Amino acid sequence: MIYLPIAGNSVSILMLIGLGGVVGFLSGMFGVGGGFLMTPLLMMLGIPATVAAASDANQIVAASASGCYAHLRARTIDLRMGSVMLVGGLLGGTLGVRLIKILHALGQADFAITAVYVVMLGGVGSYMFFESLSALRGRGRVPKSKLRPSVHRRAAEALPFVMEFPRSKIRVSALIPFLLGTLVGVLAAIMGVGGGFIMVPIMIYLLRMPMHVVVGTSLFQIMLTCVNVTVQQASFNHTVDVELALVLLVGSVIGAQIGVRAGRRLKADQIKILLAVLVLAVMTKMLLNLLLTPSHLLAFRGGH
Amino acid sequence: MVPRRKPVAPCAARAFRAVRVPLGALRHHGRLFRFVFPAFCALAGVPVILPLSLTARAAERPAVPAATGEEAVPGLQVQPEHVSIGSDFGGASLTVRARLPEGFQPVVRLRGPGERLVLKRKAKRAGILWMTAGEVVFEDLPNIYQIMSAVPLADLAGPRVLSDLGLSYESLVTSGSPSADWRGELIRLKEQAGLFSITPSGLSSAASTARESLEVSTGVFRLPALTPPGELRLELFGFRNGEGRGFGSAQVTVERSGLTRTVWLLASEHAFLYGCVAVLIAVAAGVLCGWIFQGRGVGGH
Repeated sequence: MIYLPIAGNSVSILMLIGLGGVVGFLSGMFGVGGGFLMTPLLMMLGIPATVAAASDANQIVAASASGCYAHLRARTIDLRMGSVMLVGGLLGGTLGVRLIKILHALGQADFAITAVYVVMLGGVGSYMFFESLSALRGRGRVPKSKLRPSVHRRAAEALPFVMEFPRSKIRVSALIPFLLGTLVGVLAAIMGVGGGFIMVPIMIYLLRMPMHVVVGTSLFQIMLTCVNVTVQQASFNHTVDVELALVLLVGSVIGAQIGVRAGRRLKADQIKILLAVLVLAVMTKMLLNLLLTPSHLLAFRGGH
Repeated sequence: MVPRRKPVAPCAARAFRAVRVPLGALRHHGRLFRFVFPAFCALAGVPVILPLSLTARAAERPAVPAATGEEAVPGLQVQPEHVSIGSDFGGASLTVRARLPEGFQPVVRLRGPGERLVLKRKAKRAGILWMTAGEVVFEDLPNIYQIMSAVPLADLAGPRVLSDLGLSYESLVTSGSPSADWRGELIRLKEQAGLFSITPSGLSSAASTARESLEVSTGVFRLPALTPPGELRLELFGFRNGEGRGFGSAQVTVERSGLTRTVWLLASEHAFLYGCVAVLIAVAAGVLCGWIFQGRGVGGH
């Protein structure tokens, strides 16, 4: 058992490391995905939603630090693009933290976090499920990139503030990465997720960034956004539990190493369906929490 | 030797486990317990061992209040008097020892500091969603409230008497107060968290070391891991003929210590600095982990 000073309760340390391990394993195997399972699973262990989300952001700083450093050295980060996103990310993160504070004062923070999760997990889970299902049937990933450009790209090209991004070799309105960064920042604050699962597809399909800079740039943006979120959550909401973050990190780093190795050997699409099912299962559990009559009609407010 | 011990060993082990005798203490006695005790076990069976091992436990833990000078007067002692919440804190047990004049039934109450408790009230909104619909406020409610007795409280005195002494949930949230309707839900929530309890069989009479007419009973209060730091107050009541009165009290201090205390102080008093430190630690830990595994990964290629 380990006593978490901010959560104010004790949790089995093996459980936490195992949880970090599972999430790290999934992240290692799929590159992205898994991080968004952490907060809901922590909530199921009895850690208040606000503490879970904030500490998770802290953990993401740690988890992305080494990857970010490696990409920086390999020069696979589009710093210009990353900076525009980061401006949005900082703004979004700060907004999100204030939003949580207001919701907390209203007593709706847990409800909001759960609701946002149900929507996000539902979307991501079913997207992954159908994508890998069609991939398994042998149709591959063709449809997505062919369908999108027509409407989205025309809209994207019509936007003002067009900027040149030499490293990605694209010209695009700065508004898109800015808004994307803002969205990810808000999600990082509310859900404690890096947002890679939203950012990476948009960077590839909408911004048409070259693959080799996508991961580095998103890591760069995620890490600095989460730095901001961590500091803000600690300052305004007192919900960052650094011990929790470190224990999760240990688990996730080990899990990620195993995941990377396993991912090389296993057939990704089959595993991906399993992941999708897992995501949908967690989503269902959270949805039931909102729909079924709770066992207690009163609840502690959480925090102080 | 081995065949002789075999048949009796399970019996002894069961007996030890049942009364939680610290085996370490018995090992001290070495040969005596290893051979004589199991043999004795086989002959006498479990019922005889129970009181025996209880005294063995008492002897092993002189810390359990046994000051001979105080044995003569009624009163309450608790062990330990200080509970520290460190990184390995997972709850604590408080052993109480109550001494009452003959003929009195003991009741011990554990109470944490009173606080204003605000709970979220859930209700169905928009037809399907359960969300917070408002607040229920309890003014001046102890954060911990546990009662132990030897027999059900209702057998000791009437509800009025118990309520006047503060020995019932009803006395915490009086019927007239605006949040009285939520008393049942509150109690259920607090009981599930392990913070509230009323245990009619919590106290049992213990072997009195005394030469006088005091009756000694002992019991164990369990503090859950989410016990907030603060001063806990324990009070001993004695009941006779439907009337009860106080016979003494004791204090227990619950405090954060070590790393838990440091982190908590930093987080609550220097929040911004704490945030920066959390980030720095995370970056350092992340880079370190990456460095360790990258070294290995490259080696594997």
